[in-house]
Amino acid sequence: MRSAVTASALGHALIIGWGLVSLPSTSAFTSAEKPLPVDLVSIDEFTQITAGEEKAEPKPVPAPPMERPEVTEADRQTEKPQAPKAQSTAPEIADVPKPEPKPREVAALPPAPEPKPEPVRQIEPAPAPKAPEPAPAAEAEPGPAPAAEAEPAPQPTNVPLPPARPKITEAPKPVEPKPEPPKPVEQKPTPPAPAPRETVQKPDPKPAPQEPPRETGGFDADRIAALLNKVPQSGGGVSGSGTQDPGQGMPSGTDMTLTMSEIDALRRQISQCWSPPIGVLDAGQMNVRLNLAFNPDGTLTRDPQLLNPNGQQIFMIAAEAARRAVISCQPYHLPAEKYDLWREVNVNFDPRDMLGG
Amino acid sequence: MDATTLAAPAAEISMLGLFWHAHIVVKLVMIGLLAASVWCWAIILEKVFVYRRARASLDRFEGNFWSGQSLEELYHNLSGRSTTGMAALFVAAMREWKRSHEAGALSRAGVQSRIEKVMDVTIGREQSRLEDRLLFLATVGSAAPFIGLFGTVWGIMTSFTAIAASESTNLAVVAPGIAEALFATALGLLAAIPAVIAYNKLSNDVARIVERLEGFADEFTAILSRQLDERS
Repeated sequence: MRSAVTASALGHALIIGWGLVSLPSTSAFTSAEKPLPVDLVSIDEFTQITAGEEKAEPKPVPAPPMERPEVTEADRQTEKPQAPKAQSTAPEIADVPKPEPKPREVAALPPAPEPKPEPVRQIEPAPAPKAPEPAPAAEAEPGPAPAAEAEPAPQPTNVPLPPARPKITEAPKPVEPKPEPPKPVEQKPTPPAPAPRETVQKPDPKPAPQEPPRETGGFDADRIAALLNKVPQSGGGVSGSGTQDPGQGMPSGTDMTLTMSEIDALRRQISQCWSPPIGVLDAGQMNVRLNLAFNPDGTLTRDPQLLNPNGQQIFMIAAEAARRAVISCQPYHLPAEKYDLWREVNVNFDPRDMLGG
Repeated sequence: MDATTLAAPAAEISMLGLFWHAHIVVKLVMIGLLAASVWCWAIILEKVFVYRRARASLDRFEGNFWSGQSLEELYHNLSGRSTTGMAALFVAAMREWKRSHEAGALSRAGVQSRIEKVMDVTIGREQSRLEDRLLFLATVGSAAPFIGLFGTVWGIMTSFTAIAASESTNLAVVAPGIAEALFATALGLLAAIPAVIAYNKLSNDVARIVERLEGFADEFTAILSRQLDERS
């Protein structure tokens, strides 16, 4: 019996040893799930990135004029090292949409000796006079400033506000330079409103003459409209301010723009009350553009104004429906700290968008 | 193996890894099944040789018995040593015959019945000797799958615990526990299958040997009975 036990144990040991050696141990499990790189990108980054950088080398293929001016972060990063110091700071402002006021001595400081090669747009000065010296802001001058190469920053301002440090909300990005001047966003030529908020456009001395500085409207609604709708929709970021007082900026110095999500929020609120006229849904041309003015509490200051009157009766019906919707939906819930930006807004009522959304 | 080690993916999936990462209960089950397997194979090997030897001795004794040799002579040859199988049967019967004969037994029927009794006892002893430990094979064959299943269930339980702990049903979380659980079942089957097969074969062998012994006992009883008749 002992020999049998020994033989059996020996046989088992042999088999187990053989199994340990020859049976392939399965390789460790590698999770079949491949990690997906996900970037969390605030919508602000897209809606706020609008301008291009003049310094950027023109790409061999000219971009179509309607191409989005947004630049990806990577693009900007790559472009930065080429830009001189003064330039490199400017794009950063646009990158960070945070409302913390960053004192920028970009344009407002009169003694700024360095020529600013980029057009800095929308400078909103903080209400508190941070900078004691009155910096004359430059009047917005569309078009390339050819002679501004060495020109110092101080530009004449037409607004007597105490010059605060202008905050640059939009800095031109090193977007692929477009051979043709980017389409200027319409700005309202309304006379200066009593509220001394100004959109600042600075004509900057541009080393790259091929790109004229773009005029931007008050806030990004323009951009969004231009980018998404292809329908001219002017943002009313500045109420009644066609005046662009460069260097002065907005009374509230926070770096703010209405983002697409906020525009969408407004649009969603409106669409809840809107019953588009039946029968014109497929017309496609029933785009009603309304100019809305808001009070800080979200109510309308005045009746919505139709911006694109049309003689057709059916269009007038649609316009009336939109106007009713806007009136019946108030008050609107919009971020109060950005009141300056949605104080006056142009909204498109497109039956397709409204219903589809 | 607690939940954390289970949750750690890429536990080594080899035989050794499966064993070392197992819960202590599963480990005990595995060790027990392995020991049972070793013991089963030891029994199988031993029985195979024992039965082969038993059959060989049966053949040899039958050759001697039917060779025309004198039974007295054969008895003298065999009685000196310990015998098994048919020889033990023959020796026991002859001893009883001689005792009855020497005592001058009066009753022929009494002698015959005593001889049969002695042979029955010897056959029973031989059978129990042959069947020794064969029951263990039967036990392993029927119980080992359940024992392995117990280890499997335990391993699956730990797997689910790992799922609950890691809140992930990722295969890498579940697989090690399931693998070790199935390893326990595999060991159980590994022990049970040879045990069942061997038990059936060996018990059949025992039945045949016992059958031959009984046949020889009947024949020898007939021979002795004829002798009694001739003497009386």
